[in-house]
Amino acid sequence: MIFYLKKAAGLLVTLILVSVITFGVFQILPGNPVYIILGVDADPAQAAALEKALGLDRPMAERYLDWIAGLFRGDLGMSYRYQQPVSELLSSALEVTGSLAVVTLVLTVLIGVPVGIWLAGHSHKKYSVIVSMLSQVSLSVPGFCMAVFLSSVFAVSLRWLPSMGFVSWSDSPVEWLRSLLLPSLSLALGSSSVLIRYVKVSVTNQQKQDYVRTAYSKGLKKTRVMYGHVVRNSLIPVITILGMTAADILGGSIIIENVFSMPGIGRLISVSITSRDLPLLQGLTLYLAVIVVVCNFVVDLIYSVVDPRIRLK
Amino acid sequence: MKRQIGIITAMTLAMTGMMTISAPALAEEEEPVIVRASIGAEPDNLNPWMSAATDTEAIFLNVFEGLVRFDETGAVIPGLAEEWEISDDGLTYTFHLRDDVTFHNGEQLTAEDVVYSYETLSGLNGEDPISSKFATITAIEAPDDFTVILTLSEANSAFLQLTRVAVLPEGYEEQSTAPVGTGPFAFVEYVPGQKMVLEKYEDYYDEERMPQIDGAEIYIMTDESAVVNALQSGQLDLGTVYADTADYVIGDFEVYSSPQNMVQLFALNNSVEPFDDVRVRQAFNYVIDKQQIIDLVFSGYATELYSNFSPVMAVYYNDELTDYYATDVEKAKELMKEAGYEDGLEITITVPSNYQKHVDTAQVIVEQLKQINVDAEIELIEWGTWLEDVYTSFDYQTTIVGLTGKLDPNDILARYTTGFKRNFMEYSNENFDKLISDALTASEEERVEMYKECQKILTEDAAAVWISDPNQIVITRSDLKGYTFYPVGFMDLSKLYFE
Repeated sequence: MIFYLKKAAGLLVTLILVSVITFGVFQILPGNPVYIILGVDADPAQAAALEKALGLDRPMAERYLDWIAGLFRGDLGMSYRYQQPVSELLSSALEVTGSLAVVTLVLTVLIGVPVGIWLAGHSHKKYSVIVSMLSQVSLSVPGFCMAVFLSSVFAVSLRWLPSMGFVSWSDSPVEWLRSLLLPSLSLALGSSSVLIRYVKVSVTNQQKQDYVRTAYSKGLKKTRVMYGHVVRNSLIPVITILGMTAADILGGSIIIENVFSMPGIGRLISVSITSRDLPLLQGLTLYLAVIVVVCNFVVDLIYSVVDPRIRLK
Repeated sequence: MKRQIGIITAMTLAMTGMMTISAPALAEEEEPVIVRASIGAEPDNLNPWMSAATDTEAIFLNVFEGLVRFDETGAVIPGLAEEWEISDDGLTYTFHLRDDVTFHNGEQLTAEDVVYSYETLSGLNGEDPISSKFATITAIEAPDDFTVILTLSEANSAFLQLTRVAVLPEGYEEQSTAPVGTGPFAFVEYVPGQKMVLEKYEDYYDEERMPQIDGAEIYIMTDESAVVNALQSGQLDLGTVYADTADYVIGDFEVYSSPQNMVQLFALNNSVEPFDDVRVRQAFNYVIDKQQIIDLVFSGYATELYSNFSPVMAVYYNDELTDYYATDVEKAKELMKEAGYEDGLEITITVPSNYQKHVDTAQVIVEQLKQINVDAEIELIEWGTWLEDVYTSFDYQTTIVGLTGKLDPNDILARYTTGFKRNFMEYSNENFDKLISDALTASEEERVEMYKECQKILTEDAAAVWISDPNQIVITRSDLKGYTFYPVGFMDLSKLYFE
């Protein structure tokens, strides 16, 4: 129990610090949200009216204290840029980014684990050199390059998949997956390449363990030894990588979301900063801090399931 | 291992299946005809009175209408008012409204809505005004249900054009979330970060302007290559792009290109050294080769400018300034010598980093300025910072920006008057100020001459280096016809149709 309390207290301190820093940065940064929203053709009276409507005519510190007070009531405030509640914007962006994360993770596992295992078992064959090279390439090609490439092949030339937009699961599960395949694949190719390497090394190391020799000497078949013992024991790094990937994507991938015009967290982050939308950015930092903590916690939990020797301490 | 390969194969097959299932389903029943278009920025506000962004207006001119409208040449034409009279002293405007107009919520438009709109805009309702342009209105009356009389405190020949501001229904409070207008398209929804959806308004009053499509989806796309990909993958029917991007669109597409009444300029802060010296500003005008910028940055798709005025505004355009500063490096060197900068000069060009075309232009200018020993350094800043430091505080030396077009020459030129809040060049000339203020009460012929004279004064004083009016490039599917350009940003959806 004390463990959880400590974690929660740590989270709270982190959040307060992050929020104060964000607030401080916005004090230093030049730029008035009203003029950024209205642009060069803003009429002075119009700007004054908008300033009043957004409550920007009140002192900054007062607005900040209001925001904190609202937070305790579960109210994240109104976005300046969109003039909608921050919580609504966050939850609709989270649907996009969350979907992206899920599909990316599934693809990462589907590609990374089998290829890694296969490579561990076939390290001397010539195909494994090719596979290693391919994974090296997809690791070194940046995500946005991969995104442009995949989009020009599968959306523009072959017209199999859409090149932009996001369709909600509730509208059509098939379209949902179709709209996510290309962006997810762009992200998954990189992360699965990392995973392949970890799985390969991990499986190779496990194969050298004494228990493997014991298993063989008991007369077990190779597949049984591999899938019953070795692979299971090699999963720890997989979970670590997946945890990191999940936190990364849930944090919003600004570039991928822009390339595929997806209204996710990444897009909100860039809009909130360029338009000096303090309530929205505060809401986003809060969300990001929570995501990191939650992902770490979930990873810890899964560790203990996979390897009972690891206990939550 | 075999089982594993089996699973992977099965999954691959499943995915391939999914890819093909929803390939354009054959239309059995009549599908609504929707045009899918792109814009480069989020709407700034759904309430037209609270919006100032050009991109937003380009879409919302389909949803909202004012007492007057404008045609392809920018000329004023009847809108909600079928006719109007202006008193001889120019102080009283009498508008006769159409009696067959309904708002998208079904309510009929009457004089009350017009009175409500103008009272709110001008602040005559006792609240703060929403637009300073209507501050000269002193009285608003409605003698009957379809007549409105506006009285001004001073004559203003630019006023009629202002009455194209949207008329909104009285007593409707949801404009910022569920806007209601009288235009040929009704607002359906706005998904932040993704799209705006409009649908044909079946009860629209003007048969000639009745939409030929059933609706439109306007996607907010901030990435140029995404627009190209979406066009080529068949997800967009119409996209707005830059000239050089247009070359990458291959296939069955129509490319429309037209000057857009924008002024892209290399602005010099007239109040700081060395640009407080007219000779330095003139030297810059002589050394900068605009055609080279147009070729290198805009692939030739731009019109050279000689003052703060685009030839799109044909009536008021002064066409006698073309050779005023024909590129002449020797002349520029001489002027620099006279001004005491023979040995050169170091300057900073502050450029908003989100406008790649301005950044590219700056790079060409840096090279051109080397010919007169000027060592220019490019400082990239964020748009929000630009608006504050350059546009509001005038805390800069030189900058590059584009000023979007206006329908009235006064709105274009008045930004150079002394004391104007957004005169960020800090230009000042008494003759110019007087002409701008006199033109507001002058006759139409006199106005034309006055505005031409204003352009000449700006050029003589070399208030800035005006570079070009970059073309607006629109790419459509080749079977989508009817795209029409206007002197201000307006994506006229009512004219679009599929062949």
